[in-house]
Amino acid sequence: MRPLLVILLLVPFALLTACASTSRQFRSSAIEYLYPSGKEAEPSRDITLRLPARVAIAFAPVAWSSEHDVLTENLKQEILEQIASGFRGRDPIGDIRVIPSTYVKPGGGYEDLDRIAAAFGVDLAVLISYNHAQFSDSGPASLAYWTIIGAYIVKGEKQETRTVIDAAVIDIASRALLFSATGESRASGSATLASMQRELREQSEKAFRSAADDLVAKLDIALTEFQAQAKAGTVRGPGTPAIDITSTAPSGAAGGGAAGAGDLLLAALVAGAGLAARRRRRS
Amino acid sequence: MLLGVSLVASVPHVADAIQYERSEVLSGETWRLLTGQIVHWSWGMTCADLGTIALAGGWLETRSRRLAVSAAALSAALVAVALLVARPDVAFYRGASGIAVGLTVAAALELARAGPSRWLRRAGAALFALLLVKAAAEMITGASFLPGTLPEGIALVPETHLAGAAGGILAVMVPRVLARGGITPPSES
Repeated sequence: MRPLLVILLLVPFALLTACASTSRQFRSSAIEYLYPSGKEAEPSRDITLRLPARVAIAFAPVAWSSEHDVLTENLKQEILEQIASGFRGRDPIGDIRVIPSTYVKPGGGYEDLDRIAAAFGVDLAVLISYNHAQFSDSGPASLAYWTIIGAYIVKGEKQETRTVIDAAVIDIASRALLFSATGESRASGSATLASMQRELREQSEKAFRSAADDLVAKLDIALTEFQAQAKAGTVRGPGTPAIDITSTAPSGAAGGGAAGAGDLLLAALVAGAGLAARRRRRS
Repeated sequence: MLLGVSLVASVPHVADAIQYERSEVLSGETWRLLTGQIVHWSWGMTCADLGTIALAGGWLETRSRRLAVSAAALSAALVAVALLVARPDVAFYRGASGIAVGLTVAAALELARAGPSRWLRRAGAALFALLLVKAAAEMITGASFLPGTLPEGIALVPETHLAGAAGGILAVMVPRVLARGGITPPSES
């Protein structure tokens, strides 16, 4: 009787373990960065947009997370490069600078953006926010974990990752939001108990890269729509800030006189021969 | 001094204000013909141009400061003329490579003319010939053969290299010609 009683008592615990769910969430917010608590919103001013545009792209600092930030600094830089490379060379974008997170102060507001603009010589800022949620559920197969070996070979953990990345393009001088776009991704998988954390990290990375790809496509559409709207003289139609576009891009050709590898090499050879001549004269 | 000014002028807003702009030059801002030659489109371009100037101009200045200054000045002047006269299609221009080429050509020619040994004079002559061939090839093809430092969307203006080379040649040869005619420049102090 007693062994049966023990089993009957243990089974509910085992079943509860088998149905365990965990979740974690990470969020960064451009709004909380630009308008920290207590700061009133500044009305947008009319915009003078100089083309080709000089743009900075950065992650808005993490607003809230259940754990330490899911994105390492290396991964943040890679994702920002992934987004930036989707637009480099595209007219009317002149230069896109990827800004490390160390330059972006949490709650820094527009004053922080002014400092970044001065330091990097940019006029527009693309602030990337994200909402990243991961859910992990232990399925019935997780009962095998009691065998100890099962924890290493049985994929009893079901995982799901949902990621939303938002890009807000802001004219720093006028404090105006020009346009924005959102990219999303959803991924699911399974893992053993032993590999669960590693699988979650890998799924996070894939989710961010996939959401970034989606964002690039949608941001491209938003940029095209903005260009069409800007020709009408406002950011988003009547009642929104007026926009005046000035082009410093050459309407004629832009030319450069640039020394290349050949010039440097020849100059080095001439300087080398000259030094040899100088030594010979002295000897 | 040229290095220092050019570095300062590489700050974006400063560069925008003093770059060569044909419309502004024709409106009276003729100083842009020269200031446009000390600003650049990118840091890579700045480093390449100033590196070349430092190498060739550095040695040339140890040989004769007057020669280095006159080579730089004549090259800059001829580059300005080339931009205005030969390339009316170029609306914006930045770059010191015309001056860099002028200094390199002057240094090679000076070495070919006054090197202390035969092999150094021949080396100078060979380098001088290579420089002229390179400038001519750039004029014909419109591009540089080896990797350049111009950002995307900015075209090389090969006339500036040819003009710079001409400035370097004049800086070396004109005093020699004048000396043969009995006119000698004041000695360097």
